[in-house]
Amino acid sequence: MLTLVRRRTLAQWRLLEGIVALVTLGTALLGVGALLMGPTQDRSFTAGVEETTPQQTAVTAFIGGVKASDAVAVRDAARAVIADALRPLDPTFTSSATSRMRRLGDGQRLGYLVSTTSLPERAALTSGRWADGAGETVVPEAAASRLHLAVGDRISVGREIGTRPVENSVSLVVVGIFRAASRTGWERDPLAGSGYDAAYTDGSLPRLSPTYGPFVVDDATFLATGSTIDALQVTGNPTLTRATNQSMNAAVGALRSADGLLSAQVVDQVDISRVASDLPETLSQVHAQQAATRSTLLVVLLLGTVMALTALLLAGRLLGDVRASERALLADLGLGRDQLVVSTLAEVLFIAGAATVLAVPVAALVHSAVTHLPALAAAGLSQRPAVTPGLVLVEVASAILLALALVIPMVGTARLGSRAARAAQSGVDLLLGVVAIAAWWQLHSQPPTATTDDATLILAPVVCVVAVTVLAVRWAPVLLAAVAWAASRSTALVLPLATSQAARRPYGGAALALLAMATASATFGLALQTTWDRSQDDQAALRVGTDLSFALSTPATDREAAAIAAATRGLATSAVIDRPLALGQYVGSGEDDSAPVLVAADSRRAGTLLRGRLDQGRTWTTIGDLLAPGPAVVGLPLSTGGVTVKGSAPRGVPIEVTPTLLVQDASGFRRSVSADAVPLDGRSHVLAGTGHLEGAHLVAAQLTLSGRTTPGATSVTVDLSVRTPDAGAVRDWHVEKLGAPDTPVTGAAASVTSSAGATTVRTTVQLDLGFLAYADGDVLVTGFKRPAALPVAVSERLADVVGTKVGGTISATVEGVPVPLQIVAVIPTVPSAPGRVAVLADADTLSRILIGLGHLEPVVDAWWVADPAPKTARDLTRLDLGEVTTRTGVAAQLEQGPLRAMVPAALVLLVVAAGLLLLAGAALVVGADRPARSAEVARLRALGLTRRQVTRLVLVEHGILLGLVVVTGAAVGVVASVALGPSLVRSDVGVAPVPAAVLVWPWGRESAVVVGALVGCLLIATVITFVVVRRSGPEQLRAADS
Amino acid sequence: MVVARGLTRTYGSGPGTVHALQDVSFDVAPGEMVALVGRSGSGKTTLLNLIGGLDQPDSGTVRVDGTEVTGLDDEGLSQLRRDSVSYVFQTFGLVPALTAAENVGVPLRLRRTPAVEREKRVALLLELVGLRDHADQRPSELSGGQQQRVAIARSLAGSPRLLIADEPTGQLDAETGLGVMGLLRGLVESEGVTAVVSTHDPVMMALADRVLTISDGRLT
Repeated sequence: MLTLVRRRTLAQWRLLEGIVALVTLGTALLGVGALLMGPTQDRSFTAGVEETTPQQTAVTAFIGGVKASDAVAVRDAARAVIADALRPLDPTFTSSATSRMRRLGDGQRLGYLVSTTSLPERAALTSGRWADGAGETVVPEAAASRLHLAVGDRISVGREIGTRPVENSVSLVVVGIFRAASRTGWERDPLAGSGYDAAYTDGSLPRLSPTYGPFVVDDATFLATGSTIDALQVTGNPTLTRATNQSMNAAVGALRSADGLLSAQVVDQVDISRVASDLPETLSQVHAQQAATRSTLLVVLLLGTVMALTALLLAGRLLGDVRASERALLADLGLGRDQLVVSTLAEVLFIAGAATVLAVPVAALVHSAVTHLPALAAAGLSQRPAVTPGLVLVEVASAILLALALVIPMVGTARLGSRAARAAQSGVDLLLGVVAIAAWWQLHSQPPTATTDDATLILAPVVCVVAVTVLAVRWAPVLLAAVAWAASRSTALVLPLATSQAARRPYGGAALALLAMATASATFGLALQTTWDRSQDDQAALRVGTDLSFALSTPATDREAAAIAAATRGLATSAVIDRPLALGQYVGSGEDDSAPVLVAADSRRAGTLLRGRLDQGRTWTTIGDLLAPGPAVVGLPLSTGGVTVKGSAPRGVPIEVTPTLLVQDASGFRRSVSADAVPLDGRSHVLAGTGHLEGAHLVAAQLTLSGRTTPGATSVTVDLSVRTPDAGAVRDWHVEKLGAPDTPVTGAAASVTSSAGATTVRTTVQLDLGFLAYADGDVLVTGFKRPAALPVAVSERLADVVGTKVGGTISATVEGVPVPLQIVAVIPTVPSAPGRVAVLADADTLSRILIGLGHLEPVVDAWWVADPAPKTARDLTRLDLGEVTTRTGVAAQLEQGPLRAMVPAALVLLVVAAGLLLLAGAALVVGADRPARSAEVARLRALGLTRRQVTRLVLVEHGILLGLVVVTGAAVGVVASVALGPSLVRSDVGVAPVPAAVLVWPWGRESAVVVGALVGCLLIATVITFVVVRRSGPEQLRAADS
Repeated sequence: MVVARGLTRTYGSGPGTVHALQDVSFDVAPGEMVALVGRSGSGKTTLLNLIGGLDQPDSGTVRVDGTEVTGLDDEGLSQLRRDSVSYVFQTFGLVPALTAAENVGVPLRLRRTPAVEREKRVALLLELVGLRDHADQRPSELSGGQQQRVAIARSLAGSPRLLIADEPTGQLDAETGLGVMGLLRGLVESEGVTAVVSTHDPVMMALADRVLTISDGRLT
């Protein structure tokens, strides 16, 4: 028997070669998949964790109410608890201590001391050096400018406020001035890194106080002050290069008990203590991303396995057909079925062994090549070829599994009668249809927030593609028969004969299914990859909201605005307000992203600036038009002469005015300029600090009137004059009372007059002098009319949760100022606030409303830039004013991040594997019956067909069949892509993306794939046809009919 | 109709050389039915292939209906087979994917016969071989005898001058073979075709006008 097997193997070596190649291909594919899901995913885990921000993985102990004498012990205890939790990750530590508020000087001004080891990472020095000696301090730029501090100056930080305060003052020398590098890292700072707050309160202070800080000193200096520590933070940062799934899981597990451990240790020394970390959430997100990537890999592997199994079933059947007569002969000679099975198994195991030997190095090499693809290499996932015991084990198992698929068709099974076969086929078709619909339905109805390994995500596409392919190819013979019938009426020879042959040859479902499935998988994989890519771009566009976002670390000043304007000269830019929003009674649903947010930008540039997909054919330009602020605010142009104030009050009534001017620069940036009090004495006073405002425009002014005088009513006038020849152009100035309804101001009016070279805004105020003795009177004059409501486009989510629609109004609060919102549009989502409860407004309109309600401080949080040059991002980064985020950068991170880069790579792998299996299948279909076909060609030649005619006949027959099946497969790919593609795309946290993915059908590449498949199949058919025709000769005329 | 002179055909070289035909010469008159007999491997099929232009002799010539077959190129040979010579094979040689009628119609398609005329001719030929009711059946649905009758009908479809049949009853049982032989004989007479038939069957020999015996590549 062994001799028979050996000799037969030698005789049929060509066919067996092909089968070994097929098993090798399938086995190698599974091996590559195993390597991608094993070592590469492990590597991607570490790389992905390394890419997280320190805030995402840091573990921080927050401790409040610590005496200076206990500080060191408490800090050590916290450090020990964190170190224990993060032991496998060898953490490094930073700590900071924030003192209770202290008096600055004699007034209401407050300041606070901080000792921190992480300041250089969170801030940039603008002058001087970091403090590292006793009595030295560095101060924020905003505090330094307002306190008129420079390097080398001394400042005295006075007694603490609150109960049982530390009384002694601290004298510090300023050695450096810094600016917060970004908003992150300053969340726990009392002033959030801004350095100054004109009206600070922590809830315990008796009144709002101007507050400055932090005054950063070294640890020894801090402890020497004896300050009560309001907040002590000890932060452990894990060494992420050591992060593995196991070590991270262990750390997260240990963190659960860290809080209790710390509390137990320091309960007697502190008011409160808490250990907090985003590490569990971060790890959960990493796992979710891994699961999403793994889902795609498994889809690719399952499709590849199904195709390989189909190819092997086909190969087994063809081999079985070739050996049918031999099998019958052996059966006649007395060979039992068991013996046949045993001999077949032996042969199959030999094939599996040969395939394993080949597949192991092939898998290692292909895996290495895949990890060297640019995206994976950039993500740090490149690996050298390596043969591991795990790979060998997978390959052996895969080869045996795949090779076993050969056994049944090779041994042969009883065939059903035609009626029974039709009934069975109908039943199978029905079942396939039901299964495909069920899989599609399951995929569509799954919750968009599913983040774990989801069997639906993996199985649904495979089931649908396989089932629809099998059903679709059932129609191929029917269609061919119709073509054959139509062609049969012609007098031609080749086409009718070729179509008839193509329609009636017993190719078998497996052959057609393999070819169609391979084409479907390739087109589906390509469409899914393109859809996935586009979705990442869409997510990035919506996440950033524009092409480049420059988020300021602290509120902008005019100098910074000018620097930003210089860096973005010639580009479409907009100052952006991005603030939390209180919407009536709605404060969020408790989910992290449910808190309402306001995004306001320059609506006149919306079409150029804003990114993100809109629906119903709308564009950002049309949305921007709905939000437009109306005519621009012009104001009064300022000259070198500054602003002059002349006030008059009745004689003997000592009243003074403190003006706060609001000026607007050429870019539209508005800021307030405070001036000293001026007596209303009928004389002109040039306001100090207004002489350098040339080029800017005065757009508003707040006039604070004060004075202690006898009760009664009077009228005063305040003239604000600018020396500008053409200032008279804008005469429409408005005045409003500010503050509570009860105010010393009982009436006010404004008028504008022009004289030669000067323009004057006169404000006439009626005052209740008795009231004025107790409270100041504030009026605001503006060069524009305050809008009654803020037109906004609201996100669909907001419209849903608040239950509003276009035309409705909502009362909202921005920065503590009540702002009525008028809804002019509902949009899918607001740029930079994907999927959130958010409103989009015009920044200028919002600014006018806030100014009109007395909020004169700049509210610019960021700058948005459209179509930036590469150097723009670099220039802005160099300004050290905040963080630059680009849409392309975020898209690249989403597409090529270590946890994500494998998704497109896996889909490319699917396309390649499908292409190879398609060609292998085509070779099997066309070449398997080569001997019989040669005999047939010989007979046709004997009938008088020329060599050319017979070549065309065979070629056209193969071409029609392969072409039809490839086109059918492409159609299945289209159906699968439309039905499933968008549902399979996941965001970087493994949930349904925002905005929802939409199918992108890459016509060019899809056409190339289909044409490539056709050309490849036809090339194979051509080669084999020429071989068949060449080998057909008279010696085959006696061959038995096939 | 057939004039063969000095036909020699050798396969292989060296010690394994097979002399299939050695200096074979004979004539077949128009309308004559010649039986070619001999043991297996005697050279019958080789001789038929040389007559039909399916193979080329090492030396010698064959003239069919005045045409020098050995001097024709591939196109000429195809035209010869299309217009003058037809074959009946031992293994029937039907195209499995085509029905009986379609198989019979292949030579007519080669001549670009209009569809209506083709269908009439096919129906007539199937009627002639007694298979009118089996026109739409495919070879796998026909018995061996029926398949051979389809093959004979096909061989006559192009109105050939010469019919070459290589053991046409070789795969048939005695009774079926007898029917096929009778059919062949009858058609040769009715259609005025010249036939060269290789056979082992004594009945066929009896039906032939003349018997040529070949042994070890030589006519005896």
